[in-house]
Amino acid sequence: MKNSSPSLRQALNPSDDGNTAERKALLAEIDLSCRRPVLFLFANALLWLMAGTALALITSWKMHSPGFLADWSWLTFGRVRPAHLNTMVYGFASQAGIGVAIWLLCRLGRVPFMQGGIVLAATVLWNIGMTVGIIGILSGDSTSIEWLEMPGYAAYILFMAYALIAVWAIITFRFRREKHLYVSQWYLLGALFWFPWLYSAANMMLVIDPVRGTVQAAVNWWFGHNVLGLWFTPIGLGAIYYFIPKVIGRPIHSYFLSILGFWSLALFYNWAGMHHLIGGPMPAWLITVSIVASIMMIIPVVTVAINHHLTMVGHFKKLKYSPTLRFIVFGAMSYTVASLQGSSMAIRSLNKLTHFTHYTIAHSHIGLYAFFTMTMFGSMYYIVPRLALREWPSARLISIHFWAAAIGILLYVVPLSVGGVLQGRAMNNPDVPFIKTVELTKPYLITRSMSGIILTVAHVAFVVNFVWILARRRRPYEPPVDFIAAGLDPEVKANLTHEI
Amino acid sequence: MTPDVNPTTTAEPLGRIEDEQTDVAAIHAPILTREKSEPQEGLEPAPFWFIPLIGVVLFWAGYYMGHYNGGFNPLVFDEKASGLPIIVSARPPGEVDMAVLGKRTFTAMCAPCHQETGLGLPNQFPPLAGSDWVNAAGHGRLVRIVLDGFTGPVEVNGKPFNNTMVPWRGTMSDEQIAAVLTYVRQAWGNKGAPVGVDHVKAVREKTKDRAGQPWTADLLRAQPEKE
Amino acid sequence: MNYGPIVFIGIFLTLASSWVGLILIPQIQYGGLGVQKIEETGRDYPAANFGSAALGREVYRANGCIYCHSQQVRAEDFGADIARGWGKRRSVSRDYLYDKPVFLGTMRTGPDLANIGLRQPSVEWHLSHLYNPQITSKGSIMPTYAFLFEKRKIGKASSPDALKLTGKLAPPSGYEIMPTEEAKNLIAYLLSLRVDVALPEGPLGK
Repeated sequence: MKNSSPSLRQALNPSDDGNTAERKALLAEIDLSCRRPVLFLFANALLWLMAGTALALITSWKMHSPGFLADWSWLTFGRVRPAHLNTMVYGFASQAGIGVAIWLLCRLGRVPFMQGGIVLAATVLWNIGMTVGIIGILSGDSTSIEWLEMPGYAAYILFMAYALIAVWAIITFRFRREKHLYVSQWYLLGALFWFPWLYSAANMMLVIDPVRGTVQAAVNWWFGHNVLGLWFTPIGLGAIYYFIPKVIGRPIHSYFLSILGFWSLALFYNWAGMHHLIGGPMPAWLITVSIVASIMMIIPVVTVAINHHLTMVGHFKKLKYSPTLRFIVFGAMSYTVASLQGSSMAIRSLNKLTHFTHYTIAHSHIGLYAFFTMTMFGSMYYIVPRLALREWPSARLISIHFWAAAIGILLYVVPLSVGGVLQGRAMNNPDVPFIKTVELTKPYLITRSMSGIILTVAHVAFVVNFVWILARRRRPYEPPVDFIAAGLDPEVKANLTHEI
Repeated sequence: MTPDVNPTTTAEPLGRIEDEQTDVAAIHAPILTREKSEPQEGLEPAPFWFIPLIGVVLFWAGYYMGHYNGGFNPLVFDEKASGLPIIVSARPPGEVDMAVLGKRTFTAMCAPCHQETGLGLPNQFPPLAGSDWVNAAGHGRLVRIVLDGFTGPVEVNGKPFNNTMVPWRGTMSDEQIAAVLTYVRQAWGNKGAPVGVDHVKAVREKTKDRAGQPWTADLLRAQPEKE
Repeated sequence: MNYGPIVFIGIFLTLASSWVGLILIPQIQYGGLGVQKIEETGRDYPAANFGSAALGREVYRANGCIYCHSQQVRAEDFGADIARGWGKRRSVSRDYLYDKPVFLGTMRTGPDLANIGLRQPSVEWHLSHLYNPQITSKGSIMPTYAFLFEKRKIGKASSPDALKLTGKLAPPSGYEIMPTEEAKNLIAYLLSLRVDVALPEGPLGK
């Protein structure tokens, strides 16, 4: 690192004290302490991933074959679609995110996991709340408030579960041994603090005691957008900020950019929610404020992109062998794409075209799948061997997972975005009968279903590997699995020293 | 997956983790020898173009906020306005393209039942294409049907229908009714005469006392065709 | 940035800023918006749904109609909503005063429904369309809602409410398809959807 005095560098990186044996023992102890709670969270997350994938296939199929499973009220489109969203958002993504956050906070705070009972109770309660909530939606109790469809009685359970997680986070933070806060910790603490505020405020003002008229819409999209921007994005970025430098063994490019990126995200992201309501019955100033915030998001997004890219530069060949790095870098690049696309969609003239179309759905899947889910997959590929004390049994399954997920999500978003733009242009032409705007989207809805099948293959590959790694007997030292090593001679493989 | 080649492990089989806590570090250490150190903060400077980019974005933000704030008035929904909208009087007829208005009105209000093709649905909604009622010489019956609706049995092109059509008196303006009837009379091979706005106005006035009561086939046949 | 309290204060203030700006201030500005008296009829606008329409609103909510249908008319110069005949003016805040929840919607897989009560007031059309959208709208991808109907044995004569179905869709002879209360309520709700009253902030024709 040029241009930096040793004392400043030391102040920012106090753990770099060279005492490897003691450091390793501590990390070993931390990993071991996290084993049960984090693996339990991941296992539950993957169960909901499979349920959500099934719901996704059903929902997608119904859009081009409306007679499919249409005779049962529990499976009508208007119920399975929100069931899919809530399953993925709160069942899979949130639990995976909490699991990753717990492990990261313990490692970065250099403190073993404590108060296991709290997190265990929280996880059990969370999954009870999820089950009650999804059954509620399918049985007709959906609130029809987007991103908040689970009925009030389930929301209470989820909130109580979350409160326990928050208590755990406060205790862990208070008793951390490493006082220096690494950038990932800022993001994770932000996420853990912001989420309960968002969730409780939205439920209070929309479900329990609704505010009047379109102020509801303002609350709804303040909430919905901030679940993406202040819950999932910080967890994802926190993971990326940890795993990129960790795997390649280099520091993050710029501390200054890390600070700028974090605070500009914290300041601007949460003002952008009203861009979901452009053209709608909201005061003009409210919409304008959110459009301005959406464009200002260019600052944190470019900041983070520069920081990550310049850290990775010169090390891209490590993508050839490291599963973690592949998923994480895919996620990081997708974050930039999804965010810049989102900023562009907030411009009124583009919004006129894309609002109400499938383009928006494609965009949301770039954000939640290509960015967040792929980042979580990468994080889990790193974390699970350290908790299970075993290596991934099959590099081939990891490879299938990666390629099926990458190709699947590309096949999802690219055709559907094209379809959405065509749909928008047709809708804005009053001489095109509405039924034609629907007919022209059918081929793209079919490619989306095809991509869903490919994504299902990816998820099955991961779940099989996950169950397999936990079911194996522990063996004497085995080298880390990676894509290149999988094809090598066992002798050579045993002596590999690069890490994944 | 491999024979144990790493010298730091023993050759004995390993038991369950709970039984052998002391084994943990020995098992973990090989995994950790390959881990790099924990992530650190670097201190490289930002690229030089980054600061001007921030400046441009901030400048744009200020400009946009200043121009499109609608006066921060909660009742202003148009971002280009600064105050409440000025009430505009209704557009005088003649400014509207009747052909376009007719087709759009038909698509929005009539096509759901009579279909875009004008063929209707058998047993439910009568066809308009080639219909003897539509192509009749006068406009009087058609305007009455659109204004106050229709109910009961009727024969169209020899086929029987027995249904109810909703009235449009309160929803469609005279221009819209004239435009849509002109469209209906000239689409799908129909060769009827156009219907004028003043025709519609006159019939609306004449029938205002029976507003809300749908017509029947017999009542309509008793009406003179051209009024 | 090692000092936890500073990070927490920053995290708190940033979300607090948007909570104040996007929620609190609008609530103060127009959360107390009231009804508008219409001069011609002496009635208040808007009126809350009651009776069958209010129950129908719950059917709309329970079955997730918002995931395909929006209920907001955009301004004349912003898209083609008004040109399509979806409304006489753009929707404004007051139109949703009594709605719990507000069904603005974000997708138009199906047409906007803000004025469906004006545009399509035929109960019979809605019943056929709800039972099987292909009857009235060939090529539609809206699912069938047969579970909101029931098959009943015809009594002395067929019921006036029974659906007129022909061909493959017709029930076996001796039976008729009747809408359930839920279906009838839902249609009463749809027929109540109209935004045709001029307001100071929303004049007609704009």
